[in-house]
Amino acid sequence: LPRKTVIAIVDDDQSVREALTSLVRSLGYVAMAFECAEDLLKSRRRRNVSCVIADVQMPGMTGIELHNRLVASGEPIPTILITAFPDERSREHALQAGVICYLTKPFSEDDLLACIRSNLGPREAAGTGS
Amino acid sequence: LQQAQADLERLNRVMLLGEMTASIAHEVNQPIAAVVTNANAGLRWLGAQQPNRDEVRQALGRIVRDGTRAGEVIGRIRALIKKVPPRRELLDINQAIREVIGLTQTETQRNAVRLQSRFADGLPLVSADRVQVQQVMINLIINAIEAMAGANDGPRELTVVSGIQDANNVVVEVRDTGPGLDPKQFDRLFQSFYTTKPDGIGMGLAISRSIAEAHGGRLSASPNNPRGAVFRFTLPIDEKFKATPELSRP
Repeated sequence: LPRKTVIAIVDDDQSVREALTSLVRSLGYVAMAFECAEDLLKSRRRRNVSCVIADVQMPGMTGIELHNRLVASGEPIPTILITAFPDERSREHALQAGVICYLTKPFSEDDLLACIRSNLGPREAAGTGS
Repeated sequence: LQQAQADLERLNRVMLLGEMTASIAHEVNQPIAAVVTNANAGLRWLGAQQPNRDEVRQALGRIVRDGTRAGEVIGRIRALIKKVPPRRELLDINQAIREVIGLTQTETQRNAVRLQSRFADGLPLVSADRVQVQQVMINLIINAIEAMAGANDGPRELTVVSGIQDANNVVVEVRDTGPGLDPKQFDRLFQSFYTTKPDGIGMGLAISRSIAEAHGGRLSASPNNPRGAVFRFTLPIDEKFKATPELSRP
């Protein structure tokens, strides 16, 4: 059986985390939710993750720092950043660092889906993949 | 120098509304984002080949919770405004408006807006918090400028009028010649989060109306003739100055 695509959600805001988890699951993916970036980095299931959706402003490690850490670890994961407090400098900084999307909360489902799909292979994007 | 410092302090307090608006945006954006995402998820669960009622129910439950949370943030802000008791002083409303017009001059010029003021002479004094009244005025004037700047054609005339409303109230009107407002919008204009601006968050008029009401006054909107919108801001006349013999209507 093909393994389902796993998407990690990292947001310290419980409401946003729960909502995203439900949406990601309704799209046919497996969702893994984390309260902070450190928890994802520590997780042993990290290698199964195909895409990360992370908040920018979090206590401790920010979403951009998380992305940089993943890159530095030699096992980068395509990352979508979301923020309730957008600013042009952090957006540019994030995109230069290789983040695939920088979305402002509240964001549309279409935008999020486009970001997710642009980073997954066709089989993965459909929800199942290797 | 003392005067300059006082002016600066006043300007800072007026600008505080702007900063407050930014932090409100942050705090209410989280639950709003969650509501939107939950609604999307709910629709997906509902539209699945085998709709998942349990997931839909949970998503709806979270929408109720998060929507309530957003409302509570606004409630706290309203309470905050009420808690700061208006620092009432006897206020010459014309003088207060003149200062605001001075503060917004750059904006009017930058947007090629022609500003006219028509002040009634000898208006009775009102007992009001100068800064809060000026915050409302700034908000109305900036709104009017933005409404007109958004429209490509037509005149850009901003008229600020002061006068007597009735035996108990003075009134300030801010009239613009922008695209005007849909009559259906009038009721919703003053609700939190309602905005017609692409980058607005819909707090300015809600806060402004709270301020007007905390003073025992009113803030309302109506169409301007032949085009645009009129915002009317009334404030009660101080008891000592009531029953002035000559009443001039705007």
